[in-house]
Amino acid sequence: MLFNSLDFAVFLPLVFGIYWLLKNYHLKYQNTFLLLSSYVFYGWWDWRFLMLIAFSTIVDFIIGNLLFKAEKSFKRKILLSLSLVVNLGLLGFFKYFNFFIDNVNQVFSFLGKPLELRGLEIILPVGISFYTFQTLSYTLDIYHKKLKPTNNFMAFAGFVSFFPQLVAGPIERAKNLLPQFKTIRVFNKQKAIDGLRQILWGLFKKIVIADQCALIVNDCFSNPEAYNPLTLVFGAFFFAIQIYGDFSGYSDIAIGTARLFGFDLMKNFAFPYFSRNIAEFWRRWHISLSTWFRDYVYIPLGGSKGTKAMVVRNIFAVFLISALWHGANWTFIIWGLIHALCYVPLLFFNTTRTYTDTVAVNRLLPNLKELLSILFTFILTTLAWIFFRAETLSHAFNYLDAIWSESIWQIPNFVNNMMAFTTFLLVGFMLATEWIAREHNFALEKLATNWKRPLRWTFYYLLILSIFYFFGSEQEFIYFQF
Amino acid sequence: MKGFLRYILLFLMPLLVLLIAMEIFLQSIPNNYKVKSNYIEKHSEAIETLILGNSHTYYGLNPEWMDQQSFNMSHVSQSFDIDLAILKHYLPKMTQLNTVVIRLSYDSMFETLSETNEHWRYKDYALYTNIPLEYYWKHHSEILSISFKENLKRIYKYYLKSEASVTCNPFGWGMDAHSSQAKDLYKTGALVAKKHTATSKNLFDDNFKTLKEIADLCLQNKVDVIMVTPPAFESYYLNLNYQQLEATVNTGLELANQYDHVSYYNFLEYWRFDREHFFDADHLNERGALLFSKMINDIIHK
Repeated sequence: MLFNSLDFAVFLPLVFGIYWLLKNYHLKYQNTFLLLSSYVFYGWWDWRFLMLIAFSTIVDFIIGNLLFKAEKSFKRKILLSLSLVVNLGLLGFFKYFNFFIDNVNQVFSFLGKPLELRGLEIILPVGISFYTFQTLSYTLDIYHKKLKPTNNFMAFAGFVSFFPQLVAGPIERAKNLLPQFKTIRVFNKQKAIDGLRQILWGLFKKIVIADQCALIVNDCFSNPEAYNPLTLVFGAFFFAIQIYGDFSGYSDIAIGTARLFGFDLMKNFAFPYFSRNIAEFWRRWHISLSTWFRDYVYIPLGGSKGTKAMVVRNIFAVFLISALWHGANWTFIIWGLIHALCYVPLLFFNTTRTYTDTVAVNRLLPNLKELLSILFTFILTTLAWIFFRAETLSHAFNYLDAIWSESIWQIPNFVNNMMAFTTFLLVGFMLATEWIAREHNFALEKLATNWKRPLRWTFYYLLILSIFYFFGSEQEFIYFQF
Repeated sequence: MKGFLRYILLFLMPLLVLLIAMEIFLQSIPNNYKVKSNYIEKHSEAIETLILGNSHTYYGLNPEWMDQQSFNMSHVSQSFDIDLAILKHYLPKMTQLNTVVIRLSYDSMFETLSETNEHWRYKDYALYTNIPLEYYWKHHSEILSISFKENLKRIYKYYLKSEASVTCNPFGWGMDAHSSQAKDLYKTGALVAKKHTATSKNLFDDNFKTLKEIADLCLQNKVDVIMVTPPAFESYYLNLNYQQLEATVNTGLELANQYDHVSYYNFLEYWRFDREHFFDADHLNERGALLFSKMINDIIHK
């Protein structure tokens, strides 16, 4: 079920109503109902894949408990390996099997001994990368004795399949989410209203911003040769905005929805396009995944300890794995490589943690240095997004080639100039709103809350009407494919 | 909780009022489905020839040019499963019916309305006809089936610009594919041919089964079936996929061989139709409809 669908518009109030009616009964009824609702939500796509989630849940629940009881190091390692093999095996099969076969074929063909191995027609289960990482973190935390396993299966199953964040995150840690399944949730009006505001802003970013940008982006990327360089530059710019609106919009809806049910999910985006260097960008973009890689890949590899060469190796390893997490395609690997290459100089100049605060605190506008840093970082990330968006490496290079082929100073030739102009204005509104709110958790957290009710509600109505106006067909979220 | 629900209800009230008003306004706009449904409900006992199909027959066959009491029940993107549902629903009341004309277009065997991106058209059957189909809950509302932007345009066009919303004549023929507004035949040909070329054969067997059911139903009720592949402009038929076209034509021939009351006519490349008869590469204009209707009329007489 998509968040931006009419089905979800019916599903959410229904589940919300029944869920809070159950609060007078035992907590386990509420958890069981949440679990069933989450399975319905997921099964709406393809009920067959529910078995994968259930299997992953049962395996990690059992292994978690056995790991905790096991004292011998050897036995603990065997159990951890079992969890890794099951979880990564499923992920690897569904996501990387055909990529592996393709590349083996290419290598043997290059060596003059074509193998012609055949791939399989595999449907990638929605959200498999997200819930696999969530269950893995549970087992890894128990292995490292940072977490005690739970004996409450319903709570654990709820943690694995909690519908607001099941298919595209935030990738939660058991330490944060699991205890919330074990404690009684009390309805809080203010929290619920905050949740609705966050859902509203998320829908605005998805439907009004991302889906509108997608129309221009799809034109530009489907046939780059047909457009002049400036149009293609705008195409890349709009993709940077599209993927942000799409994914951060999803995260806002997920976090807002969880709040309606009394849960607090971790923050996933912190206005990343206002970052002043790549290191800051990665502290603000897809935070739940970045911190996952930091805790389970970067630090175990040695982190920032050791020689510079080792740190550089660790950085490249993290970006490579992160790239592969996004998909089995060389375009993602180049995307990760660009980010790693932009990150490494910061290591040598010890500037990875220069910007840990919010830009231009207590000021309306940034100073010139901040502005130039933000623009420079944005240009670097946008360049990398071209590889992320392209279907193949040659597609990405064709796009870049078309940008450099002629003079950039030509009037853009969009298919629909009026639509491009409107989208540009909408993006400007979104960025301005987020700039004003950059010290908060999400754009509408404080914005307009102290306005008088008629004015505040008018503002919300305008946002809702713009969502209605731009709502066409139900467009999938980009991150569902990962 | 009660405070929260009161607050939300109060907040949503103006939006709900707006949406309900829009729904009422939209459903009050006269439309082809309503007009045709009213006609067939009132005159079903008198109809002798019933025309079923998609836009090709909707624009291509004008019952006014036929000698028998005829009615065109085709709609844009209508597929065989809906044709069958129409027949099942109205056949018991159609005591005078002796002929059913049904199109067998290049794309007909490979699609159903529910599988296309035009599935929103189900709402027109759900809201304005009595035809029992498998409707999704969204199809019972205009605002839930079509985008808000499109609905605003419709309200603006009908209520503020007073534009006509019914585009068929009283006998169900579509009048809006007029020669005065003809499209570029060469540009539309290749594009539409590509659009109509199926990516899979998944629906072929289901559609064949449906056609056989239509043939059986007509046989039981002593009604003849005339299956026609409508004429198209060369820019369309020269860009078609040979295998798909062959499968379509073979379906018509096979059914005509199998049943005595079924006949099949392929007009796709018929020489009498030239550029002056087409609105676009695969739809006839009013001149083409006149010629095509008279030809079908002759076939009925035979």
